[in-house]
Amino acid sequence: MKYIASEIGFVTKMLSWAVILHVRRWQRYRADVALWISSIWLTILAQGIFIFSAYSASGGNFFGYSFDDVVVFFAITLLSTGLAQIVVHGFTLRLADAVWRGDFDFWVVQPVHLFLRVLLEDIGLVWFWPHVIIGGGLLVWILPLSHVWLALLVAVIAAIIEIGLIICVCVPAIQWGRWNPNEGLWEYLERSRSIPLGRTKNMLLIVLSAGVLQYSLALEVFTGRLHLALFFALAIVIVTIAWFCMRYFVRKYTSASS
Amino acid sequence: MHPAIQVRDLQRDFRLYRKEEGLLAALRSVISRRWETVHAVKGINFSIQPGEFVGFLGPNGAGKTTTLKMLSGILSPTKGNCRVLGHEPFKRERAFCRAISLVMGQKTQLIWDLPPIDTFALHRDLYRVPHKEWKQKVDTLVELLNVRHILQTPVRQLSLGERMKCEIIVSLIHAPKVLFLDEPTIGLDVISQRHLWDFLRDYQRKEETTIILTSHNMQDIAHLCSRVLVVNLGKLVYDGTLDQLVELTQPKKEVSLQLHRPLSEEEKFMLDVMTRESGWTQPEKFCVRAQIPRENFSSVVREMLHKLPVDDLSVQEVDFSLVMKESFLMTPEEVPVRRMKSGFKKRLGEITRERD
Repeated sequence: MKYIASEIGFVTKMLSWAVILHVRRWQRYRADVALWISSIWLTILAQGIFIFSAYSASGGNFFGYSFDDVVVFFAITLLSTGLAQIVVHGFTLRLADAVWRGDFDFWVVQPVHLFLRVLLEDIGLVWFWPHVIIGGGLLVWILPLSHVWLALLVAVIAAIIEIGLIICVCVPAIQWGRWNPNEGLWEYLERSRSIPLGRTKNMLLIVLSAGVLQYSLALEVFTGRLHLALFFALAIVIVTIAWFCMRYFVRKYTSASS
Repeated sequence: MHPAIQVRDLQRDFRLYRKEEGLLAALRSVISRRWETVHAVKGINFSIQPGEFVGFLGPNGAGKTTTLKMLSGILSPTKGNCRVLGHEPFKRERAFCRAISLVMGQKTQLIWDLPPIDTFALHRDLYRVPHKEWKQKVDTLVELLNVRHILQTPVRQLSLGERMKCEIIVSLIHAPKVLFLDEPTIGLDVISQRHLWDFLRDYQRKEETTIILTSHNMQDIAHLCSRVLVVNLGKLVYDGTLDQLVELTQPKKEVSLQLHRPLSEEEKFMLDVMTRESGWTQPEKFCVRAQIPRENFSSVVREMLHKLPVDDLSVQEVDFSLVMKESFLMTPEEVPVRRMKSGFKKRLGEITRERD
């Protein structure tokens, strides 16, 4: 019991360090942060207008979904994307950078789990917190309290699926320190975010919507068309695969630079 | 007493693919590649007792950093095994990670955008060091290394010497039992080097930490290490004291004599006898340079002062660059024998026998 309490205390301390270090780092690029955050808010606003216009143009029947469903989908997507991108940004960029520069040598011999260690680096909190605030805020605002918890839960599960997928896709690139966010498979998947709803019979759109599939599934769970347990099981499977990918990566790490 | 580090037949191979020239070869390599195995470390054996300060010496590509990475748990051995404080390093058990520390001259574990004090505090929690103990430790180390004035300066604005001092502090916060130093003085000026030597020597004596230091700089080894391991082409070729290594690689000392009159024929003959044909030259009329074997150096010098018209005598300092150059040739199997002087080979045999 004492051991568990000490471990929980340790993890909490590390998470608080992640936040403290993140905020401390803001001091360096204040102007950049201000500019980026403004552009994120504008993007979210543009996405909101797009959703509203698309819904109005469809005459109130958007692929069988009601207006509330569409807004919930939008909010879940924002919240999940925000949560996932916080990790994605830090994970892919910082991990690849650490491998490339050789700092990863220090990480593997520090007495802390790699996932926690990565969070201590420059996670994407600074860039994606507006997603979390707006997504979470929308859910709390438009849904009755009894539904808010389910919406938040599916959003978190969708984020976990996205994080898992990203780790699986990016590990080979990270292994050689070559990850570049502007190219590669994940970038291709990221483009599919421009299509707000993944549920369509069009084959091309289905392929393109691979990057937002987890959000479509989250909506299916929320509207009662998919069982929560199945969605959760999918998350566990993907996280397990990602965990094995990470394990393989760490075991095979050859410390390229001397 | 159990050794702090024990290494048995340690080997490490790297598999690399050959990149051939031209576009066609590049396209071909997408489908099939030509691989080759590089044997970076080829069966090294040694053990290190707790509290030893050991220098790991070798030319580029000799396998010293690879060995250090295997000992610290970064790399897994291809064959053989090593134990550090009773742990198998590559398992990276928490207890092992808390008992060792690593400093690499060309890499940093300080947070680049933040002042060093932030990294010190983060490491306190990473290694679960009690706050009071941490405060005391940091205060002491900061005073000893004289870095209090830079604790609030972002790391990216520090000079290389200041950064390296902070790297050393970070690595010592959790009071490691074994410290691995990989070229810690690389790029440092003479004053910073000397400051670091003094600090490391005093710290090691006081805390009795086991330290392994790899360096290209023989001065580092000479100032700090009681024992030297020389690796070349992945093999351990020397394990002993620095004095023995100097004796092995530079069996003679050079002395310069200032004379108050030219030497007579009889004195020249005496000089031949004293230096045992190891040689002397007379660059000027009133100056003689003589090579004297180390084993009877003091008696010969006494004799010279007694029998020759000596005004002044100076002994040449040990040329560590020569010691290093010679020691890097010490590969009894691979290095062509013609590159070894016959006397050197003979002494190598003698010293190996003495050690055995």
